[in-house]
Amino acid sequence: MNSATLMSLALRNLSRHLRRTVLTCASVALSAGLLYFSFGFFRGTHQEMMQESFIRFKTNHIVVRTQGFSEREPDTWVDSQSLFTGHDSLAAWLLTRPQTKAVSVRLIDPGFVGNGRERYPVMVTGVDPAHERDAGMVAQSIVAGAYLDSTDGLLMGQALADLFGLKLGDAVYVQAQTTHGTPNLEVLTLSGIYHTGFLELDRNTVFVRLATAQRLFDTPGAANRMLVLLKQARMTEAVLGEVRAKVHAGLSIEPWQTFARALLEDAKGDRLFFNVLVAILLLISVSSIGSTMSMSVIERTSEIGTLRATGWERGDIVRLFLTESLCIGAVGALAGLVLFVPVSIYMAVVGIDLSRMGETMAIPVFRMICRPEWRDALISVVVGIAATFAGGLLPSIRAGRLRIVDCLKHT
Amino acid sequence: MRFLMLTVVLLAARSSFALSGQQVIDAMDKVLMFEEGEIELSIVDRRSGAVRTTLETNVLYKKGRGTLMAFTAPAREKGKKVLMVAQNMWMSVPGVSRPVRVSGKDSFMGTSFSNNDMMDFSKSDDYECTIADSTDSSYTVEMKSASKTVSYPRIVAVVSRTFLPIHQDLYTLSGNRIKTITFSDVKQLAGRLRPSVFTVRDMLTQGNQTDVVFRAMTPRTVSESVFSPDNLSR
Repeated sequence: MNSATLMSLALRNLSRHLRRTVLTCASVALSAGLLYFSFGFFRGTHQEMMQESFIRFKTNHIVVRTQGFSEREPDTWVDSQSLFTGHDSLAAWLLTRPQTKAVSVRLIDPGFVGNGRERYPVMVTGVDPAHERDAGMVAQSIVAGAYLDSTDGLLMGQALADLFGLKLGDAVYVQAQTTHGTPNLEVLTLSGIYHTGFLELDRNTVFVRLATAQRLFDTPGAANRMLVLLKQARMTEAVLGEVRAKVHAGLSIEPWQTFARALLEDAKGDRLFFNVLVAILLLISVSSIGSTMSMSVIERTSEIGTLRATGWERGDIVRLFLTESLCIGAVGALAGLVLFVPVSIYMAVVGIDLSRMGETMAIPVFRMICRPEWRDALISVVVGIAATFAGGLLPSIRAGRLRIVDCLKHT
Repeated sequence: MRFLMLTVVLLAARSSFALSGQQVIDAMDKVLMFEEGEIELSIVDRRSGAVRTTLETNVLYKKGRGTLMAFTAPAREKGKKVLMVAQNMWMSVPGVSRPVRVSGKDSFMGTSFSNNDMMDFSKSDDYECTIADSTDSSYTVEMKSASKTVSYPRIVAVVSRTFLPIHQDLYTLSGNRIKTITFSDVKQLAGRLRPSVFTVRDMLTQGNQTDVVFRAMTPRTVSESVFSPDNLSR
């Protein structure tokens, strides 16, 4: 039996129970379409938006700290166990590496800022303006004034400036504890206002020059964090090894993933959720196609007997039913793409705006997006067809095993 | 010639009787606090002139040994205790079996005082004091500390000729004035005249102030054992 005849018969048989065929196709379409969407969504929202944002806003690719530094104990961030010197030479060496895009040396500790009438708790972040400009997000987000320079200015988020009613040129009181645990106060001029849309930066952080922070915390020449931004995330492991070999004992060199465990766990959770959802839908598709084909075998038993009596081999019968299954799989999977490709394109181009949720998010994700690839479509179609093949296999074999006499007796 | 000699003698006598800055501050410390005893305090925190909270507390004090503060009002603070021994500080809360360690640099119950300010009024041990100015009624004493661990490396204290503190400006390492303390309402407490109200104003929150009101001071022997953190929760 040639393939063209088999295909023609298969299509005719499927059209005999159009409603059943359409419902089975719809089940396959939903599974294959969602599988396709989940690939693009994961790549876009988790890998591109969340991980890239985390790297850019929070840690860059590599973080250098002392081994005694404890992220969970801000009270100890300017203690001797958390401070290190010699960062200038390390930064200069890192900037000679071809993979390095920027190096940021920081001195961060909790403190208060105020306008002389009220105060608000913030993270006082001392940075080297020349290096920080390329490493962080703040230099690109200035909405008034200018980025830090050689003068003793202060950068503040729009949200915080609004909270205090501060404008450019106003005096800002910055209070913090020195490394010796005593209070210190600097009165600085508000030289720049930024807006990133991420509340942790816009309301809870102020930026000053590294030298100003060192004076405030009484830690001359010291920093408590160095962040390294690479040209590509995949270079992290290689550079990590080089830095570990270079730095002296007592410093800890960690990749961004160490700090993004919660984010990566969330991504794993989301991926698992999508996988389970798609697996359930595929199972439903397999079961639905199995039931459709089983019903078809029962309804067409006498027809199978007639075909066998006219010379069809058992293998021809199996191939006929399998062809019907595969047709449902192919049409269903393609229909799934027709349904979900426009959704993915919309998500890729426009996405879902989350910027208004910046106040509630721990990671600056401003849009949910999709980044679909051609191979996603191919995988989804192959999985859809494979599922229908699996579902149709057993009824097809059963049809092929029927004896002619039993079939012809069946009315 | 006789007049000249008399002038020289008088000047020499005057300089030999002139007090040093250290002596003025030592004397001021004695006016501020007794050697040991019990104090009843009210701490009134004001925001923009309006009273935000009033705390009432009993304090056991022993110079060089420690300070134990037990809150008696308002109801939500009643039973809380704060203990300071040297640079260490603990707080016990009713219902919590073990006292928790607190930082001396944190704000005292949300007021303009830090815990250190509140628990240790004695200043003379930590500073080198010189008289910057004096008038017929007061001395202005410049107090400087080389120690990195004192809260305020520089204090400018105005002290009356009777060693009653009048005013103090507290400066940070950067040289900026961070707090002022004004002493007022002098009255008889524990057998001598002392200021009974200390008013603290913080430069970061101008318009707000905290008044510490000494209602009573009773000199008495205080047992060493009350300054043990192990006894704090009892």
